[in-house]
Amino acid sequence: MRAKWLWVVALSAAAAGCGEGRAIFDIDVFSFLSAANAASLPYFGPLPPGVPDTIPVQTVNSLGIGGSSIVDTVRLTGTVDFENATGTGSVSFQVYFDTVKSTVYTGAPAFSVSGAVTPGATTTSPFDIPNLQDALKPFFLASTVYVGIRASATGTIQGTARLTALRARIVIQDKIF
Amino acid sequence: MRILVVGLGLVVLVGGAAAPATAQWLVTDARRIGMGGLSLGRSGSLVRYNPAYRAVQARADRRGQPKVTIPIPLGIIQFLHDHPHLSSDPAFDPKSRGFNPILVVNTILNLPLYLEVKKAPTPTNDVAFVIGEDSLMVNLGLAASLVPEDQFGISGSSRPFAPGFGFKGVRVGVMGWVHDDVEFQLGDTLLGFLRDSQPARHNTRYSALVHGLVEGGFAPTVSYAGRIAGDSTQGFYAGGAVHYYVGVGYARTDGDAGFITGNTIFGGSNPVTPDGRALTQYSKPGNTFGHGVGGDIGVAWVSGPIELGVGVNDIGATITWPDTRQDSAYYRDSTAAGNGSIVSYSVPIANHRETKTKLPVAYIANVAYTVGNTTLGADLLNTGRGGVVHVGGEQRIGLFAVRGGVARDQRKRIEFGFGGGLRFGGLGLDVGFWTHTNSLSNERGITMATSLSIY
Repeated sequence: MRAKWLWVVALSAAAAGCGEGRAIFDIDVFSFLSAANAASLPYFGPLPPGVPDTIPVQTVNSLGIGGSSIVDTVRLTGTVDFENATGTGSVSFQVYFDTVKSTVYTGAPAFSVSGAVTPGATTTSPFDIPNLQDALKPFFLASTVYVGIRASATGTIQGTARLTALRARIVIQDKIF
Repeated sequence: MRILVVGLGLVVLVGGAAAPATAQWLVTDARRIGMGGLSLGRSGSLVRYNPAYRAVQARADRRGQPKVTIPIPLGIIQFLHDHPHLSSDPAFDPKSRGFNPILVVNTILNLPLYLEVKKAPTPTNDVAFVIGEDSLMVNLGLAASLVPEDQFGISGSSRPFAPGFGFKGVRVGVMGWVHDDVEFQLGDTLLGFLRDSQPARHNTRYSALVHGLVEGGFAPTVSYAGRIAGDSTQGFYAGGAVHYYVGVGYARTDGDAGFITGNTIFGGSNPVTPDGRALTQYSKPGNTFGHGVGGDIGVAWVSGPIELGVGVNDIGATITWPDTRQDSAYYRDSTAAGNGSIVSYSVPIANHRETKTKLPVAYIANVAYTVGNTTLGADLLNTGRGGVVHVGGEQRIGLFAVRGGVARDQRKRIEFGFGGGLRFGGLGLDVGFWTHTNSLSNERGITMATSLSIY
């Protein structure tokens, strides 16, 4: 409710200019993960028993646009560094979004980034997802979006997957007014 | 969500549109609209604001002044055509997903009395919000220029009724009076956030000053209007009125409302803490009446083709309210900042206290020049929130009349009027076009007014 007050103020002036224009939200998702020390996670291949391959679900707070708007596009850009300690193989870095915390990891990932890794080297994998699948777009209308990260290794390898940037650019068609 | 948008959203929208609205929306005469809102003879604002005009002859033959003007509300037909099921129209239902506050505001500020022949386009720039765990920035693009830097609002002073009787220019009566005033002013931080795209800061208050006042009552009045020199073709007229204002009720609030950012803007689910405080003063109907004395004065000079007038209203009209209650209201939900709980109260701080309000002094000055079938004129009207200037004229050619005019509204925007008329004996049909500008666009829309005149 209180988040909406800020949204109200922002849209108060936006109301005067939106017309048929678009509302564009540029959310620095990385800043939320980084503040919670959840921007990196170790990976192991094969995964030892009892070792998680995911981070605890994290919360990204936004303005809560409301369900009456229509999300046109959600573009995700960023970079993952695979800091490989030992072994040669590949790592898949998967990002999940949901509006329900308990089901973040139950669905398919929003997108994946893969990188081939070699011993003692860091592999930088930038990514640019032009448009998220339609089913996930409405998630970004909520005031809270839950984010999860999973790192899956192929081969006998060990290292750390470190997210260094993740931004979501959400374009909303003007159904607000 | 959309309900909440209406709140402060309307503040901005109304702020941009309020001034021209107050200057234009009560004009119901297509003739006046065709002349850019110009008041001539005993029409429009002259009699209202210049007491001397009560004695000036209407001279219908010279200025083509009708006895009665009946507006033809084509705009209502258009509006009902566009919104045939108004009660269930989602655009007007705040609970609906299709609720459109811009349409609501535009409908209120530009009452659909007349036909909108050219709608002012709304800007279509994108609006960008940059959000991080501890950052928030809004870029409104071109729309940022519409965020009002100065105080803005709506105010008006009206006299809804004035029955009475008179003899030889002296008139005794009772006048109803109503005064309303709503003002807002964005604080520096909120202004910078919205207009200059300044990033939101930690633990910072973003707020706006709010002032609202409504008061009303009646006023026993003694007035005089008469020609004190000359004759009907060349004369000097003077008028004046003394009012004993009796205030039936009033309410006033002065406050400051906004929100406070937390230690980390998006550190929790509630990035901001609503915060508001206000001093409310009121004297309800039934309390001891307010009282005050004020007056109007005006002069008019008619000399052949030339007519001049000046009038001033509500001079010294300060109302003393002997039985006022004052309440202090405070609201703060500090749970978002993590340092407290909701604090909300409204407590009386004084009762039966004497307070004063003041009616705005309004004035009008006008000039008209008539030669043959041509009438030219200008007037300046200030009702307390800035002057409005109208310059226009009319050329009568047989059965036809051609009109044109220019107006400068309270926001110093220039608007144009043009139109024409057709007269058959005692009946006339007039059409007037008037450009208008609202807060949603820098381009003008055009309204077409139609009215029937009985001569």
